[in-house]
Amino acid sequence: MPRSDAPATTRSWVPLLAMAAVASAGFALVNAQFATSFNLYVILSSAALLSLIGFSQLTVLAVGEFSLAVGSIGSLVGVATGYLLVTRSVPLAPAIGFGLGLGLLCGVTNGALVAVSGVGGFVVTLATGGAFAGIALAVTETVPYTGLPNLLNDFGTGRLGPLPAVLAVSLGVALWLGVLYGWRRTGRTMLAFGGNPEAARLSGLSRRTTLLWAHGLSGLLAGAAGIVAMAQLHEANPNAGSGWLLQSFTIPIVGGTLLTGGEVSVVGILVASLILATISDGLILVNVDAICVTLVQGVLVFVVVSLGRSREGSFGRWLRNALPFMSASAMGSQP
Amino acid sequence: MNSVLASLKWQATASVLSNTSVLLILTALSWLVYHTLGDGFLSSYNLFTLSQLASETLLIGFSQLVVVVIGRLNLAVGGVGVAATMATGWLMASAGLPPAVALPTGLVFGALLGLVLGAIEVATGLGSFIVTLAMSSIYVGVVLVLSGGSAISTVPASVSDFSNDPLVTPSLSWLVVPALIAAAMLWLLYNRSVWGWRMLAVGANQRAAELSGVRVNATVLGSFALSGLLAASAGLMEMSRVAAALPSLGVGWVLSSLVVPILGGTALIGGAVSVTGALVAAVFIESIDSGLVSLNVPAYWQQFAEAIVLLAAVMADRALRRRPFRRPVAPSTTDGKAHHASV
Repeated sequence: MPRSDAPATTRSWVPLLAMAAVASAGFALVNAQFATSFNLYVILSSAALLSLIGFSQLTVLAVGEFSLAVGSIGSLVGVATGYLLVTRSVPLAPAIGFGLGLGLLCGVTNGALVAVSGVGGFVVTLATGGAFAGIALAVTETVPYTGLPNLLNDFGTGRLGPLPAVLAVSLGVALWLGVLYGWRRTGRTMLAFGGNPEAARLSGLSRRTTLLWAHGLSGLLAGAAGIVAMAQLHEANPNAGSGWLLQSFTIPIVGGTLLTGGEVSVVGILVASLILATISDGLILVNVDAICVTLVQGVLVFVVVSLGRSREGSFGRWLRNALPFMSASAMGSQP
Repeated sequence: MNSVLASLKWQATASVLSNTSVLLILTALSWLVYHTLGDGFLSSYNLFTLSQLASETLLIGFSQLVVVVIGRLNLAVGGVGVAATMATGWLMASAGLPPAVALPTGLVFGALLGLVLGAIEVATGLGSFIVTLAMSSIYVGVVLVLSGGSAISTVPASVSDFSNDPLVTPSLSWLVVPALIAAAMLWLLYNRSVWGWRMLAVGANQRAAELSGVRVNATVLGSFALSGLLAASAGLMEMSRVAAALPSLGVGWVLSSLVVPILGGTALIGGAVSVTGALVAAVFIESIDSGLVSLNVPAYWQQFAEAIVLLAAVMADRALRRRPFRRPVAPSTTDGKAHHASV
């Protein structure tokens, strides 16, 4: 085992989950609305969208790349789908199919540019992200498309018991990615590249294919996030994805996905999304100013990452001693 | 140690020369296009605005450049900029301090905010990406909470006159002066001072630098403080230009702060720097905007066109620099160039 702290890294969200549970109990005591089935639905709805944003970044982080275009692809796909649905009256299924295809195309374009030019994904997606967002703004002239089909709106805000319907998308994607990275050749290849590009190249794995896969998947998932956001908002807004940049990194970081590549945690994304959604929701319910929520999320990234990464540090050790069940779950996976 | 620094110096010099000349040609070509195909690009009104914006963008780029040199990133340039600017605005409007006191205080405050970023990075070892990502939302969050989201618009006339009065010709703003001073200082730092070389050494190979006796932590702290100072300067420039301290300042800074060093040929992985490249890059980027206006590109398509021009510039730059004869085989090939002679 080359990286001795690997189990701790992949489970860096465990302490946070404990904290979120404590915070939730606190919120529930302070505000009776917190522990209602409606609020559970609200939290899960926003967690579903957050997880798709996180997954979109995760697929590029896996190969050691960054994408700054997650939000702009989301916006563009939402706008394109909205245009087809509202202006062209295209039926729902082909419109969504086209939207997802467009997201995939945007991602593949990024991957191709990175592979061919040798310029890093960070720089390429910085530029293409501006272009995608620019198209979304120019096509709509900043006016959102409203009057989307009822079926889509119902899906976006519909419920199955206390659970939001959109959660199905998020869980479906999680299952798919879990299989992909755990057992499929393509996924393992991407992780091998992220872990050590030179070794992967020498083993005969194609850098070009890997980059196309990683960025293509990222674009597809960003597109899915864009469509879910559109369904939730009941409109196709060209600014829908403009705030996703920070979240797209926060969620994988909190969830224990390495920024350097080679290691992903699909479950971590789900947990991190749930935690961020719970804390934002709880803060708003206890009447904390919406502005403060950003601040708290910033602090949260710190707390989580410090807990997860510096487990050898004094605070980590203190917390492990203070909360024995946590260390048990983290150590449990160690051979 | 000497040979390490000498080879570093060669590396930096080589990238400066090739990159800046390519970018200079691209800029000249783009100006030619804007001038011949569009109208009003070379009007003094347009050039005046261009000089204001390019000066500010240059400092935003510099605030990223100084941390990129040591192999770090600062995603909180906007956060530091808005916090320092709002603090300065508050000092002048509410505390009633004269600009001569408030402006330097704001700059020092910016440097302190930068220092905090560096200190957290050094203390936690979490990596600058995560530290500055989190601190950015903390800085912006605190500013919004304290200001309640409202702007400070009682900026003394002497402050706003500075950027809106012409310098020598009606085509140049006074903002060019602080921007060029900053550029000159940074050029001296990286080409003539031992501190600059230590920063480059840390960026090129931190472990090697440490073993050669460079105090890495002090270098990181110094670089982040400098980054904060430069971000605060950019914020104060914007305050002067729009005659108000806006809580929304700094929102799009991360992207432009990265584009300036990247286009200018400063390696994102650290260890190589080009101050003159950044200077040309800032002019190039800001020319795109006003150039598109003079070409009558509809306002809504400008962001798209700007991004495409950027992408094309990065690709062209990479393609041109790949030519084998651009890659010197030995340090001696750069002999006689100004920077190298100073070893």
